[in-house]
Amino acid sequence: MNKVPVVAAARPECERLSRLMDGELSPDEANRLLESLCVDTELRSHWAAYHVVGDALRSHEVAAEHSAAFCSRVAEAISREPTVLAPRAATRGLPLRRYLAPGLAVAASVAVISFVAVPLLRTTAPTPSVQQATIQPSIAPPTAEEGARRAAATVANARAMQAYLAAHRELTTGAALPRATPYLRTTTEQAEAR
Amino acid sequence: MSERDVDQQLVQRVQRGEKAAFDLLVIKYQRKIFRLLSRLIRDQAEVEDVAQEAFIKAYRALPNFRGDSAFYTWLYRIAINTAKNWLVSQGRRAPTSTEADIEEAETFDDGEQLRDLNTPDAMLLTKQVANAVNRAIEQLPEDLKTAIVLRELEGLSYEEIAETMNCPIGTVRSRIFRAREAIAEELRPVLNTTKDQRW
Repeated sequence: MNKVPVVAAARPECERLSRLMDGELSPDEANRLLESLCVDTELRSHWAAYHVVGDALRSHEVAAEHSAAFCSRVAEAISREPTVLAPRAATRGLPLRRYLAPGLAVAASVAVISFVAVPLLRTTAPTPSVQQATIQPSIAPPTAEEGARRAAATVANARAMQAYLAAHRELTTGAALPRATPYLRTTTEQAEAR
Repeated sequence: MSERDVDQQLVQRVQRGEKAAFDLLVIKYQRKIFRLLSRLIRDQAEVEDVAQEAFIKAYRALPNFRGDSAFYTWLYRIAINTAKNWLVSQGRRAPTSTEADIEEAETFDDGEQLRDLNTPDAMLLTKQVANAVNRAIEQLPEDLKTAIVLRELEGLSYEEIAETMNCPIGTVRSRIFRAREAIAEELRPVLNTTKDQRW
């Protein structure tokens, strides 16, 4: 008759360890258990035992290679080695990110153009009536007082310019009527001012 | 989290400076590495020396391991190269190609063809292990036996086992765990380990 194995004394972590080996723990649970495994020698002996059991079930020859002292020897040798440190390993999603990110950027650009820029262009493109409405104020006739002030400013500017041009006319390059130009301009401005 | 993910987690812990995590990888893979090296090196003491060198080389190279392949495949290559170099240093012929290719690294189905390489001592121990495992399996209640066989030999998930055995997943967990404990108890004396002693 088969005897029922007695494992009443086993810790609850041992059953979780058994599940860890079978890939049946969540990443969080697995991480917590691995942390315990690194410091708990009793739990580690169960880790070793369960792996021997797996090896023995699959191949008696492999299980027969077991050397109890070997792990201690390697651990001792490793303890004499400088601690290895590596930068955070690249995540598995890196290739995905590499190809997905540019695609998303392009999609985002297209979306911005479609939903923001195009409607904006459409609304700011002037329709004839709107254009008329916006231009109208600017072509409103100036008042008489403002007209007089503008004319006075223009004459003053013209006089200053005339003096400047007269002083520098020797430097002007050849035009159709090089020496006549300042006089023509002055005459025109005086006529406008009147 | 799959078995490969567990290995990767352990590797990342070692890369963060946690040496004890490497210990767990050594415990897990030492027998497979011994078995692999026994194909190239006959003397058991020499196999252990080369295996130790391979594990130390792996530890030193671990910062460069990025997980593109399974940890064991990577370790396997290091072990093969270490053995080749060792054979050359001993003035012996190193195999031009690894007689065991990478695919074989993932399997254990090499027992029959390699039996002639075993020494009488190794063959005796193999027989004792086989007897202990068979004895343990025979003593297991049928439901525990089925659960552990479906898991370890057929590679079924707990969900698949639960469907096959028509029972809740919690029951599957418990059965597999109890079967493991029972077989481990039977193997302890054969492999010269006591409850307090490290495996």
